[in-house]
Amino acid sequence: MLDVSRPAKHLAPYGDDEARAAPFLRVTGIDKHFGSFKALSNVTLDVEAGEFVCFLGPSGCGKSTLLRIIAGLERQNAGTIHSLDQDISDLPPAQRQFGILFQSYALFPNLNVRENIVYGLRNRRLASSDIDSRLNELLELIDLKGSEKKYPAQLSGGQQQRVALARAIAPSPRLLLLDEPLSALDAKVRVHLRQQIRDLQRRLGLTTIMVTHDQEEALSMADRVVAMRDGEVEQIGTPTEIYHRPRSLFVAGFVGKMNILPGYVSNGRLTVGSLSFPVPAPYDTPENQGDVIACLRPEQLRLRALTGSEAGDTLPARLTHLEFLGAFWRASLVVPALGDAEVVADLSSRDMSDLPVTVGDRVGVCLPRERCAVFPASQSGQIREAAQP
Amino acid sequence: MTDLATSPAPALRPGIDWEKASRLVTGVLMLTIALVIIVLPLYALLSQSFEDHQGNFVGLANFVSYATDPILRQSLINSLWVASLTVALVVPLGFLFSYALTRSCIPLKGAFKGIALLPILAPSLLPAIALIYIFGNQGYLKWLMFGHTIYGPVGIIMAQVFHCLPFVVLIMTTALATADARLYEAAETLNTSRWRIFWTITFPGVRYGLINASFVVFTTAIVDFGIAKVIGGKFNMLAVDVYRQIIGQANFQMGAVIGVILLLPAVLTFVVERLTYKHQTSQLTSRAVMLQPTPSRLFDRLMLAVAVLISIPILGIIGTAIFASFVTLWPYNLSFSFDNFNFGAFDPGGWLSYWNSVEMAAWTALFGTVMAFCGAYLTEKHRRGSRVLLGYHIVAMVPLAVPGIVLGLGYVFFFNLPSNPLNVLYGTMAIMVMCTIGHYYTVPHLMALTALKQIDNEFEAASQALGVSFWTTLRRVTIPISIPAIIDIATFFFVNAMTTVAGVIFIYASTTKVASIAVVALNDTGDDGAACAMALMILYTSAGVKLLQVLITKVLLRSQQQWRSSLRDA
Repeated sequence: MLDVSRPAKHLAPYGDDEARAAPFLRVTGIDKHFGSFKALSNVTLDVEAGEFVCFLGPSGCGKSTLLRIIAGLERQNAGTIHSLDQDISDLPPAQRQFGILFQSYALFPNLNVRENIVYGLRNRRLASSDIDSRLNELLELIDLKGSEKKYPAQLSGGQQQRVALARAIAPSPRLLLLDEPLSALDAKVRVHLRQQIRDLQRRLGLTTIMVTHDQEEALSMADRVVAMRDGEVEQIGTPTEIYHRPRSLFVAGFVGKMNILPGYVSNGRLTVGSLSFPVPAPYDTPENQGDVIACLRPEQLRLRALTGSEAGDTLPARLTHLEFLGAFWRASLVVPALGDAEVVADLSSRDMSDLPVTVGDRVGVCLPRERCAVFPASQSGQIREAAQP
Repeated sequence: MTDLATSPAPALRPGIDWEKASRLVTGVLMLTIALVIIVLPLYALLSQSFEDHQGNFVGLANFVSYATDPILRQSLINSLWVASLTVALVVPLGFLFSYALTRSCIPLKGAFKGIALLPILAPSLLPAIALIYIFGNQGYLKWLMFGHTIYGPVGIIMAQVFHCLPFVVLIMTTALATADARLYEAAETLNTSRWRIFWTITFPGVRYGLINASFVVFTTAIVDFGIAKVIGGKFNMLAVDVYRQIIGQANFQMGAVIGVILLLPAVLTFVVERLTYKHQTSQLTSRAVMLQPTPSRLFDRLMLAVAVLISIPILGIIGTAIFASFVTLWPYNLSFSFDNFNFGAFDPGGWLSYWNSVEMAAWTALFGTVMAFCGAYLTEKHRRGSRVLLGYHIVAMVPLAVPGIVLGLGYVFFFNLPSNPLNVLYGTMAIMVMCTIGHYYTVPHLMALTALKQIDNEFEAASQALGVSFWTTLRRVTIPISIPAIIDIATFFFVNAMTTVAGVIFIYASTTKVASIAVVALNDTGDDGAACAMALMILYTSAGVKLLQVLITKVLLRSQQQWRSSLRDA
């Protein structure tokens, strides 16, 4: 029976444990430049067996290049790639035995579904009965039984992508590489296929790396996310770490909306407007001194009715704008105690029924201080960078 | 299901990279062939132009003596103004005709386009001979010349216009067809006049096409040999001068000098073509909506009149040639006969020259297509980081800038050298095929590149990752997808090999004389009826091959419709 319970190990990014076995894939110090353009610099990361890792970043951050280098389709200018302690840096793609799924599907248009899927099996001198049984398993797996005689042009985008997936995993690759596999599909198909791919990956225990610029996709699918910016690794961590404990303002802004409040740190205390509290533990670092930026996600803010004697983390505010977005409401508030800074709070329908508010209301806004992410003020330019598509 | 799980990793060991090795070997081979059939002959020509009879380097002395010879200088001036006048006439005509074909709702567009492209299937000698029948000393419309003679610039320009019209129509219909309907809609909603729409939207869109067409016509007119030879009379032109210097006076150095001069306009065309090509590609976005002409009574009638008026002379010229080929002795005995097709009675080569042409065209089509496709395939799909292939690509672009007569002359110099081991090829069919492939190499190279560019580059990456060799993917995917383009390329080579004169006139031997050369010879001996008949045999053969191509492609596309439908959208 298939081992479906192989847990992905959420370990520290790299090499602090001498006794540990070599990781499934170890990428060390990869540099890549095209002419004078530096696409990747000093990229180092590990991928454990059975893990689903996402490379996340805006377009041009080098994530696809990194994937192609791991696949062997591009040659790195410096650095090494090891798989289970074996140096594969110079192997041609065929000998790495990695399966790749391309954004454009790259299905051969003149071959039907069957011929496409068995394309990589034909040259392995397998008996044709073996090929047939493998084909049937794969067709069942991707839920396309009965379509083997169709040509790619006769399939929908999602079906084509599933055929491409079957073709990639047909030769039992050691590692599956997905290059923006879902970005060419429309939104509903994308969500559906994303679950299918993840299920399949778990069932097969197939170590997988996916490249995406869609933070929702990365957060929902990955065991670990590698956030990249300008050819460098910005942060490696689980989706929750990346979302709640971003290591830079860029990562914070790229994976979701952030309220940005100017603050000041001295002696381990963070001052934001009239509030002052200890810097949350993960951000109590030497760089976070003096002028800083304090960040809070909109859904972490809560509204309270004003009582007159506010507790330490609740500030009076005026609601200036309210936007209905279906699953939640987005409220804009001006907080006098923060120097008339505008903050945004996301309110669930339940929040709204507990405390109905309208534009112009004066309410208390509660800032969960332990949730604050803090970055040096010098990073403030990164928020614009992260907002770019 | 279990066996789908990741199997324990087998050892990963690097082996000999056969793919890389075969890529390199093929690339080097392609580059070598391209150097031999294109670059080395040109180099031989260039070096010859700087040498005296004994082979000593004399610098620019030959060019100086050229410039001081008044007769030769006159032919340079003649060539320049004849070519300019041809451009001034044929480009507006071709533009009007293309405008009628693309922007109006006239009936029989296919037929009109076919008529306009007919001249491409015939050697340039055909219109020249036919014009002699029409306006010559015994021509049936001689009175229209009002006492002037057709032998000279008038005849040359008329024949050039006929000969060059297809090039202009091909370039202009392409340029005019790619228009964005949204721009026209926007202009109409802004209440813009038709005249202003033409100058602000249509004209800017086709400007580069017009520039290109002008340069192509100018070059073709200046380097064409056949027309000036047949109808030029005492009027000297550069291309004929080359022939006279080499064949008549055995003055190879002066021939080489004129060859170098003939290279200049072509090189200029080449540069302009490359520059404008870059601009042209950025004209249309993928979201553009194709413009569909709307019916308009007056405009359509006007355009129909234009199309008919331009078609009549074309059909008249070809019709005259056909008629002349079937009469016993123009204009004295107009009775029907096949005598003119009894080529053996006029020329020792007889029908052999026709079959030589077919043989040469077939070999050219076969080897040319294989070479152009292989080279383009390597260039497009495997160029990354390969200097060999980059070099090959540059060499493949050179023939566009080399007139046939210049390349042919280069072959004489290069392959005739006693020290060249390749001189065993001299006087064989092989050298004719090599020269023809070399002469027409660029267009098929670009055709193959265009076809290959439409194939997703990830196919190569996907098959690499699946552990499938590139030649398997080439055989199973790339070639099947490119079959229509491959047939196109083979037809291009065949038709051009049938009609070429200038490229092979210096290198044929009596056993390898081809039909187009026979036309020149028959015209020389005054057997114009037979010359007409031979030229028409070339036309019939090219037209037959072209029809065959259309037919095969149609059948093929229909049988592959299931999977081809997606390629058109992509």
